Amino acid sequence: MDKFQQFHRQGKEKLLTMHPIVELLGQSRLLIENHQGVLSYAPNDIKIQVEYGCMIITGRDLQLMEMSRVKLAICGRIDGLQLLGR
Amino acid sequence: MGRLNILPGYITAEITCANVWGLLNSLTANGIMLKNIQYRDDLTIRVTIQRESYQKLLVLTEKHGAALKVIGIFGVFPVVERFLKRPILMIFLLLILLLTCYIPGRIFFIGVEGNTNVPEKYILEVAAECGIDFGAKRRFVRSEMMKNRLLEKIPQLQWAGINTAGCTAVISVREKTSADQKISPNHKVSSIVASRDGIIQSCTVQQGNTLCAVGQAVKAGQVLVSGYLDCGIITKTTHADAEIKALTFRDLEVVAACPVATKGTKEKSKTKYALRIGKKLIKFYKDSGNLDTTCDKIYAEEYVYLPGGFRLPIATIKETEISYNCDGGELPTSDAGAWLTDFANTYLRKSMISGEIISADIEVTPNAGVFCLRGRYTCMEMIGQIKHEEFLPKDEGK
Repeated sequence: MDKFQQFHRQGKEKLLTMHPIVELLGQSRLLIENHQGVLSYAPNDIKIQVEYGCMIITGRDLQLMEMSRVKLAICGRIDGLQLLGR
Repeated sequence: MGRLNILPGYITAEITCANVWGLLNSLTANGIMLKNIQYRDDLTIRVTIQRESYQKLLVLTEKHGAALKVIGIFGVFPVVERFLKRPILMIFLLLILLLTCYIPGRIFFIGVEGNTNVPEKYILEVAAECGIDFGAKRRFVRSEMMKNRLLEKIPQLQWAGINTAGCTAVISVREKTSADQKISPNHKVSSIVASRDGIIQSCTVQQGNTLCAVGQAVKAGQVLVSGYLDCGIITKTTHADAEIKALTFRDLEVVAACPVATKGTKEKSKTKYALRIGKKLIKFYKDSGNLDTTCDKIYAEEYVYLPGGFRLPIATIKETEISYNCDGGELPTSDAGAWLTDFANTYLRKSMISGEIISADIEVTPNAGVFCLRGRYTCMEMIGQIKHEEFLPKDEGK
């Protein structure tokens, strides 16, 4: 295995295990993988801790549908998605 | 997304904590999957978790100093567990389940329609012999078999059928009319035969071929008037109709006991009650049967009927026993003779189709505690009896 391939594989693994993956389905559903916890939760805004900082989801009637160590699913009317780096 | 497993069940709980988000992160970090996280206020949330994670949740909430309130436990196993804690309810539900399986396949109400002369009770008795009884299985009800048995047992019926609907069986019958009874399709030829031995005294023939004459001695079963008439080339058939009177001789022996008991004044009365459910009889009294032979017994059975006219197999039975004082004594010879003669005359008249006693040679003798009447009676009676001949169609006769 050459150095390039090794570097590429390590990057891919890191991407899958560490970096957050955000999946937005229309305006009503948001799925975040590799999150690091919830900072605050209210029906109008939810703050999620991710690797590089904080993610703020704003909207109406927001609800955490599912929360596990890896995944987090949010439902409701999503109006904004903001990323705040450290 | 993971789904909640409905078999082990899931719990909805309300958590109140100063750092509720810290607690949530701690729960997820410990492998608890949270579902439907509802925001109540800044300090309170409502979450749904798998039932097996409850102990872990309890420990972690205690560790974080949070208040935990269980709102509801859902799922199959928790419901079953709750039911198992209530055995009476379980038995009741099981009973209902069994009855739901048992009742639709059984017959509980039996009705009879179309009968006018044949009693309903008799039809039901015959039906019970065929298996149509309280609690009989519907799939064993065979209308054709039932029809054959009913027609065989009750000759007054022309047709019978059974219809089942739910738990009800209705036996529909059609009785024969008088015309049907006179000319049965199977018996299109009939002859007149002698019902007993005798000497013919008069013979009036309306229809048929006369085979006897006045003064002729005939034996029981001998054909007196035939339904077949030989016309040379063809044989005509008819229903023989005749009035034949003959002199007959009957020997009779009647016995009466010497000691007799005469019914006196009423002594006491006793009423007993019982309940009949199907074929079971539940008695509400200790002793059974009559106290002695000197009492009358009145038996009354009252069945329970539904508004639709269907009879339930539940009946109250009332037995009333009335005891009498009995006056014992010996029967005088003169009274015994009169009583025995009267009995013998009544018996003879009943046994004749139509006729009278011409003369009697009677002897009454007391013998070993009994009075015995031996008599030879000469009677003038009708001895003609219709005998239906099997009518065979042309093809079968060949």
